[in-house]
Amino acid sequence: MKDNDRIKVNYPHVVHDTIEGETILVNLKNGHYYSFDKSGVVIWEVITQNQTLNELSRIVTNIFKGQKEKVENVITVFVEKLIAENLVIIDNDEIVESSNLDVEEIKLKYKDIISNFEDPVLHVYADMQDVLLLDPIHDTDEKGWPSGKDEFQ
Amino acid sequence: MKASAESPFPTYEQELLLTASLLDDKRAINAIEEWLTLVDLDGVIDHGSFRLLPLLFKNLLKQNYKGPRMNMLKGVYRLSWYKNQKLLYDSIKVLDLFQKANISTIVLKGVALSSLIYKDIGVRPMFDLDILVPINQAKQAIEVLKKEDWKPEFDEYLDYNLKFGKSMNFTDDSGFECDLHWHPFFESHDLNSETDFWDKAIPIKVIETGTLSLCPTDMLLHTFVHGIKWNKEPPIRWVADAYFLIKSEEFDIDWEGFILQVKKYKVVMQVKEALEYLVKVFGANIPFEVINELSKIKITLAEKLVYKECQKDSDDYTDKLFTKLYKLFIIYLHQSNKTNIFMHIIGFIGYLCFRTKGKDYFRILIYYFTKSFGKSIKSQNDIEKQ
Repeated sequence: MKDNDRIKVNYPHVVHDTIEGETILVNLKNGHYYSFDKSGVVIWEVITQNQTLNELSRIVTNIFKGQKEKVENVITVFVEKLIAENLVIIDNDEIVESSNLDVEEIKLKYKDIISNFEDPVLHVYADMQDVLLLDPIHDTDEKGWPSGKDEFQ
Repeated sequence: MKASAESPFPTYEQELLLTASLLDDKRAINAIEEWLTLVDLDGVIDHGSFRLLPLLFKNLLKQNYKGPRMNMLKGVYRLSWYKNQKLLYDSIKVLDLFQKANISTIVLKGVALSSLIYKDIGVRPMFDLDILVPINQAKQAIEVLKKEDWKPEFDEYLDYNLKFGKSMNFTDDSGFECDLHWHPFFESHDLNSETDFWDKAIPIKVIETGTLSLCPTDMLLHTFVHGIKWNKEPPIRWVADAYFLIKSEEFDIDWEGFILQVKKYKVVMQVKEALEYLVKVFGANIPFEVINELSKIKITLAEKLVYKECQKDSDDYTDKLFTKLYKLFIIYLHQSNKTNIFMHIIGFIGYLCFRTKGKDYFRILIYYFTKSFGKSIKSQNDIEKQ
């Protein structure tokens, strides 16, 4: 992966939403479900604005001030995982305008996450046949679907 | 109307759940707290209520509610969001098939409501794709699906369905279901002209595929007609759909046009009752003149009979001759447009002939006659023997 590679969400095969500090995603081609929280949510928000890897690193580092080296490493590892799952793609062919990101707005929106940087963890649910059988009221743990009680894991 | 478990009008518990899911003030919080004391969430809740939980979650989230079951509700929302996203993605294959065959399409119910009205793919769980094609393209649409190996639910009744029915259910190899409609609803559908519902349809995108949706006024009519009838699964979501359609800031309901459609399709009774309910319980912003205007419309006996029967279990099988004939007469009346009793009788005979085409009338009569009277003759003999 090069610094000037442009990272894009793999539309229309990938859909995503962020609820209460958690981003959920589906790769509609294979049905796999994903989620992440904490710093992953902030990185994802910047990714959705079609930035190059370089820009992405610069913006996210700016948001998580004072932890530059750590943040840069985390971004590279995280983006590689997203690419491996086909959630994002590198697209240098299409001319895409980067959006004008309001960094201050993101800082305000995610102030709880930013104040305490933690590495993002990509949760992958690839065996959806079993997960879809879970009754979301009775078979799930305190986190709620798709996190099943121990006996259903 | 008195509410029961399967009634289209909510029970007290269901009304609390709806209040918590729809209103954006303290009443929602009070309602959820009371609902949680009355309903055993660790037991079994009715499916109609279950289908409201994603909407409940989003409404409580907006109000920053931090109650004990929010993580569970969030899980229900995630599941609904996941399934609906998959359904939309799978819907594209059907829409593309019809587009290639130059068949126009209108997406009905969940797909349209989620995108245009709720603006949230997760809040309204969906199980299949409901799609409307023009009446004159219905046969072609069926052939297109069959050619692609979609399996119809009742293939043998195709001619009957096209003439007297409104839709056919298809399933593909993966189990994905498409409910193909040529009339949006059953009621008085022989009045349905080819341009009805299509002239005012509005554009909508399903992921990246362009199609059409009913205009919000017709969506509201469809919501009422489809929702206000007996259902094994309490169909209370019509309350939420109608509430948000009326509340929409983006779309206005054309109330004059709405009244004309209600009159035309002879659905005054259910629509009036539904509107009164929405005003009384949820303070829906419905002009007083609309209900007033509907109150002035004369209801025919046929409409009364049809409405009364719609509140009963339609799957309740009978093999008694006269009960069966009455049920068939109601089905006939339901979609008929005749205005006097003589025309109704002629129309009903024609309907029966079409329904039993190719079958042995004599055997059918013998079957129902034996089922209806056999038992009572036998009982009479037993009494005489004793």
